[in-house]
Amino acid sequence: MHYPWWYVPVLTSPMLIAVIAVLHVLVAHYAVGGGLFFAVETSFAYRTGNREYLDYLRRHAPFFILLTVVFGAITGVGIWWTIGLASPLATEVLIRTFVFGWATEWVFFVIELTAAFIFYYYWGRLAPRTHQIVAWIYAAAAWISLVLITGITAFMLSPGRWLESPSFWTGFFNPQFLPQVISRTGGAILLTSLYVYLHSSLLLPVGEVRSLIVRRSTRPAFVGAILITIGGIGWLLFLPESARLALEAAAVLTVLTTLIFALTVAVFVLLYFGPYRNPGWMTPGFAASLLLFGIAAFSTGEFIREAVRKPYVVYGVVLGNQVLEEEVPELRRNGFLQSGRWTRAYVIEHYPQVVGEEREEKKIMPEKLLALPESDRRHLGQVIFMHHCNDCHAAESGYSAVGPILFSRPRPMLVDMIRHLHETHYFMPPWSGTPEEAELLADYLLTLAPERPRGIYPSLEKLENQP
Amino acid sequence: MIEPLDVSSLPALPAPMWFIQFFKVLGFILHMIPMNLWLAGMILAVFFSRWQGSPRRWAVRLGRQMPIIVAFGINFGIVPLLFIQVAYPWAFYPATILTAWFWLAIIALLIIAYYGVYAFAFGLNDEERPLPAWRLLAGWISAGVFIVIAILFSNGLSLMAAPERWKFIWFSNQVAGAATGTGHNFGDASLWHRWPMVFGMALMTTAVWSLVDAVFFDKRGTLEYRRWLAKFSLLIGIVGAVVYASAGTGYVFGTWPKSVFSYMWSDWRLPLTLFTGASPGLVVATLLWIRYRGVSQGPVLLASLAQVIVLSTNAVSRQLVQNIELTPLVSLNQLATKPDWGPMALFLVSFAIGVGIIAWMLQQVVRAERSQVEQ
Repeated sequence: MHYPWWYVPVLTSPMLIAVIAVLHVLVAHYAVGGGLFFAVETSFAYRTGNREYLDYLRRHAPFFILLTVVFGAITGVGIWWTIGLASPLATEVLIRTFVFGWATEWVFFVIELTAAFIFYYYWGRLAPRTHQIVAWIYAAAAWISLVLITGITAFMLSPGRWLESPSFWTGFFNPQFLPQVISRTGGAILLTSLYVYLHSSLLLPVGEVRSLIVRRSTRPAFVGAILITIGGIGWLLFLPESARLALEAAAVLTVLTTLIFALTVAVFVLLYFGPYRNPGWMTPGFAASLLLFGIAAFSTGEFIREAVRKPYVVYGVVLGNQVLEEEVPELRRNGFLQSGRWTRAYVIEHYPQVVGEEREEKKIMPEKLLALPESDRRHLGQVIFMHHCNDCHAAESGYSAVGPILFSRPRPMLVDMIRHLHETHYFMPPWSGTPEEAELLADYLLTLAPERPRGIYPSLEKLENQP
Repeated sequence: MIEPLDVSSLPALPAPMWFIQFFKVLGFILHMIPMNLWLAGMILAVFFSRWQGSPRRWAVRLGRQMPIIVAFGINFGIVPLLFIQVAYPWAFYPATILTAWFWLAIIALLIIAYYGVYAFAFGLNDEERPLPAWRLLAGWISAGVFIVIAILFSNGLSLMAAPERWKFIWFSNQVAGAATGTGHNFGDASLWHRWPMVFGMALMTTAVWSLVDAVFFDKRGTLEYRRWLAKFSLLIGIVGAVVYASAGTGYVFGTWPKSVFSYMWSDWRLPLTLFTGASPGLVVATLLWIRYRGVSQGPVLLASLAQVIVLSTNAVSRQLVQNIELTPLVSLNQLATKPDWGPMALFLVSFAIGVGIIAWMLQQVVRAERSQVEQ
């Protein structure tokens, strides 16, 4: 309500966050797990004097740098960019609450970056012991970055005690913090093994070094999978009640939860029968399949994690439609159009006839809204739709489009549904406007709804058509 | 859309405004150094990469350093952006949302530019081999994209400080009051003055960095190379200073509104404003000195200090101007503050530890370099 709304046709702007975030996490977890991989494996290779293994690690490093330092780092900034554009109020709340968490994470990011470049560019020029220490510095800094960011993102799902006593620490150490740190650490380790399988199978011929790499990467992969499972159980146990219910109530989430379970089992089975029991199976095709299963499981997990927060962006604080939960009663009293800085400016500019005069100058009068001609009512309904609904719904077609959802609903039913939004669908934000504004929104929504397809209730249609 | 904000409705700042602005300015200065190098240095490095002799040598050195320069430039840019969002989200978000597609394009363009930098830099590994055409093309694309990114950045941030332009841009780019994100601020004259100012500074930073590289990192540079470098640095330094001075004069006298002008042209701000305009003279003077006295550590350190002063005075002056430009929305000194001392201490302690760890790692690098030279 305090910021303009960014309209992205078909997709809706928050879906851009999802797209960029999924691309980012697939690389960012590798950036963390890869740090541990390099630290452990270079130490092992130096200790055992295995030159061939060291050579392989040296060849893996540019791939790691090119993927994590370029794509991973820039898409990380990209998420930040996109949340500011598509979810500015929630971003403002997060930044104000955790500015020093982010600033601290930045410090570790600088350490990470410095260590990564020194580790790569000074390979063979630093003493082995110093080289290993630099690798461990990278690993530690990257993992601390993960911990710091996870505290902030977990807060969005479950702020816990922060709601009663808001402070950095109560927000950071929220109920979801530990489960998510465990599962993300596990995810980073597992995903890294999958990247290593693919990279080594593409670069190295079948032989001793490749077998060694496959063998040494499999145990961490199992450890990662176990950590994901433990963290996942914790995540489920500490979910807010409504989020747990959403998992059962929303068909898409039920399907995706089943899918993630199936994908995790598939990765487990493939790991056991593939690299663990038969390292020789690790062909590029097998490794690519494993990585694809891992990526699918990860992406599904991220989608579920985002989706269960509904109707909130920041649970209990910022609703999905960029309204502070505490503001809802005031919005209902004063009007949605009136209370929004940008909606108010728009209406005053385009519809001065609905604005009160003299003492009530610049106040939009709800009763005057209904006196507007039909086309203006629809247009203002569209203004409300954009700012109240477009966060999660496209209009006629596209992501979760309202047109097909609402088809052929009679007007009184539609108005009633709007006014009792959160009562009919608990994962929808509450209606945040006046009854008059609900009428305007209904006027607009009716223009989007297609006709009910004929023939789906033939017996009832016959009955209705009887004279 | 210049309706002032109700200060009482804004949440308290988690740190005093001076603290936020200090780190915003510090982060901006840190960001400016590498950003300047990719903005002007990349074009020059690509241009000279197919030459022979000293120009080629210079291009190879800067080109190879470019991946690291870009990484740190992006990283340091996070700090000012973070503190901008803490200090004035009510200005930053509207401006970037109105220009959303241009703003978001920066991310996609940066990925292209950064991979282009790597493609170019990896082609320079073999000094004897000429750069393959596709790598040269990648370099040119990166150099061009960096310029576009700089314009898009200025587009968003200049609009942030020009709330009087929001309404027009919003109404010209909206569907039922929702911004389509296709708005731009290219019609703002200050954008077209500030961008060349930055480019002028970028040329000067590149000039000074080239000398720093020669003195502190390039152990194999011949006397002939250093002589060429002294001339070359002076040349691009002078060009940079001239571009900066011309654009800066136009910016101050042609685009500043009366309120900004009278603020920056009075009291203690007047000497600061004058010094901000004249400071490139310090850099040119030290470059001239180096040109005639030779490239050595002392004068190069002095040139670096002069360039840091140029960047710092610019960042401080820009901050003051920005504060005044935002006054129609909110008077910044009226914002409530509720400092979060614990997390602030966490940050400051981490910062100190981080500096220590990085210093230790750099020390190892210096040792490795020294032992290599000795061998």
